[in-house]
Amino acid sequence: MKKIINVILLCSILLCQYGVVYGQQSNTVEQAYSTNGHNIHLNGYFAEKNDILYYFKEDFDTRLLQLYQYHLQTEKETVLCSDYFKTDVAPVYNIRVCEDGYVYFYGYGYSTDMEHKIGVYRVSVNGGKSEYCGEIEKMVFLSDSWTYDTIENTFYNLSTKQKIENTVTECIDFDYGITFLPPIYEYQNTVYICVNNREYDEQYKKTIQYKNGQILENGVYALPLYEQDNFYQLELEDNITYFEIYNDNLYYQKDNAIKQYHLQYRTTNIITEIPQGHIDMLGIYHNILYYYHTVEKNGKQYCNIYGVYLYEKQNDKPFIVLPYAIGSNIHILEDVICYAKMEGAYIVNWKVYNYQKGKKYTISPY
Amino acid sequence: MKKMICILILFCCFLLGEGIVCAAPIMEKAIYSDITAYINDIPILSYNVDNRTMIIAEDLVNYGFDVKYVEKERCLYIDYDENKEVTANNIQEQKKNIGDTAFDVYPTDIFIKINGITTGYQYGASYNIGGKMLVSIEELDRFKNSYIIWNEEQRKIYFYAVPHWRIVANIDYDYKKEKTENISDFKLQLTRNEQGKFDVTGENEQYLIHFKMDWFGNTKVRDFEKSWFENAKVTFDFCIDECDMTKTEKLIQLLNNILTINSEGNEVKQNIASANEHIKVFINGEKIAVSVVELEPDFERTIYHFELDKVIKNVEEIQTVTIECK
Repeated sequence: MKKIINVILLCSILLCQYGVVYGQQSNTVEQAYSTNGHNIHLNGYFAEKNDILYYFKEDFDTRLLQLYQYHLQTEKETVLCSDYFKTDVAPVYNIRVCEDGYVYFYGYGYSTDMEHKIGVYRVSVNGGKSEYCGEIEKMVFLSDSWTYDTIENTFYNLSTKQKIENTVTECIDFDYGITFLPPIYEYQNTVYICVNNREYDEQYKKTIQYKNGQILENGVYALPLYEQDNFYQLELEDNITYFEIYNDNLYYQKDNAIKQYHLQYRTTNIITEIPQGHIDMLGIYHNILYYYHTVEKNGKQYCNIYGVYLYEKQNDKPFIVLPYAIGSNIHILEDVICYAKMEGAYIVNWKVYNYQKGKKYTISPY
Repeated sequence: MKKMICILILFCCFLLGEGIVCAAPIMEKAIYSDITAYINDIPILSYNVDNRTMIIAEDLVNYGFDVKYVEKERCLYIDYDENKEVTANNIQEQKKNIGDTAFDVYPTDIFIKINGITTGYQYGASYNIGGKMLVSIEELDRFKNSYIIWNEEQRKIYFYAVPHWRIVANIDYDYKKEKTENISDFKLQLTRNEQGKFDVTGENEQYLIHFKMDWFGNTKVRDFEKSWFENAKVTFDFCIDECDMTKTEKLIQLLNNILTINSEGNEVKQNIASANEHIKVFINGEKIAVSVVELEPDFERTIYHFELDKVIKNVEEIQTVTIECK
């Protein structure tokens, strides 16, 4: 009898433990990044971390820039750093809040007590003076933790200050310097590189080569930073140009479908497919993938931002997050969507929609 | 001395020569092109001059235009008269070899005014051919409610003049009526006065910006901004400014609940009954049904469009308009 009780007890303990573990797995919530590749491609005007939005404002008279923060809870805007930056290199800011507690951005210091250099600067999230970090080529951000030095061909962790040499490929040339071309992101200490050697832009083509000079073919490659011998190409069924990685899956857009490729199981699923109109994948936060959809009906253009659940509600259809999304430079962040009103090439106003609270604010760029 | 005279003569010749060169007209070529031009769906002879589709201004007389030359002003006036009889319905197709020169074109000091606006496709100069003037078809868009449509696939360029009237409500925004209340309804009464304009009275009308009532005739124009008149029905629209959003929250909620076209451009037919329950429109005392309600957000304001189940071609028929929303 005792034996039976013991067995039952053992089984109960095992079941409980399994249940706990299972529960933990299904409730996995990824730490949201402060910005994403899509936002960076749009010059990275905004970043968000811990309910605070970071962005630049331009002084209307002097045309100099200052870094501001907006507290989403208190709805208050304050200057984060008193330093001024020139607009010469703007409007490309690539703002990002990294794991080391600093806001990083691309700029040109202009205050008298600053180094007047173009490159990457940082300011503590607690405020204070800015610091010059280095040239953009030496600090290409792969995530909120890792940067890549395109001169030295090394990876650098901002929190641990660890530097790792790239032993697999020659220097990866980020063609336009500041925007990520080709897309290259770090996820759980593995760097994912999207190689897309397009035939039509031969003069701009920047190939990536192995150490032996062999050119990497089109595709997505994984470079585990601590086990670089395990470098491999992902078996994707599509040739892609942009992707996001979230919760062990790689998400990408192919024509009017958004697909999910599991990095371990190597399976591909279609997350959503739109028969009409055009879609653009915007980003993923808290198990929801966001995309922009535009369609022409009766001679009019209809634009909406949709969200689609990735896990919990597998059968749910996409839902509208922001209807009538009329605007440019749409940045999607963890809690807010920022979009601009343009006049010619200039941004004259920003609208910020807090899609968690359903509230809209206007943030003047001046 | 002889040498000096020779040099002087040579110098004079040089000056004269240069003068002649300066005064010589810069000649262009009018070329037969593969593009066909249309005025209100009727073809019109056209030519390519300097990569632009040009038509002979005087030809427009047969297409509903008044074309009048005033010698003392050296000006050709082109105006559109929608009531004028169109006689150009049987135009012969040009016999042409694409790329061949049709005729030479010369600059002139005569200028053209289209709907009173000075035009001219190059440096304010117009071009003439044998006493006739050339005008770019694209410049006819200076007429109110006119549209130029370019169909690249078919190599066709269209000019459309759409019959139209508009009533603009002269709402008094001079802060005589303050916007202090949180509102959920409005009433607007437009009454034609002796000058033919419309006086406005109402309740909470000061919250409605740019109220106007329109009627556009049928057209094939399909344009993002101007797709509202495709049904040739009477429409009206107004904006609510973003600065008034808080005060008009309830009204906006009501209006958003009766939209018959949603943000995806799909029809929500079940809302038509609700729209007619909350929006009551009377023209000259006759109740008119609402057939479409759509929202069109701008960056700083929200525009609400309404289509009525009514065709009124002549605005003079309208004496009073009443719109109630509650």
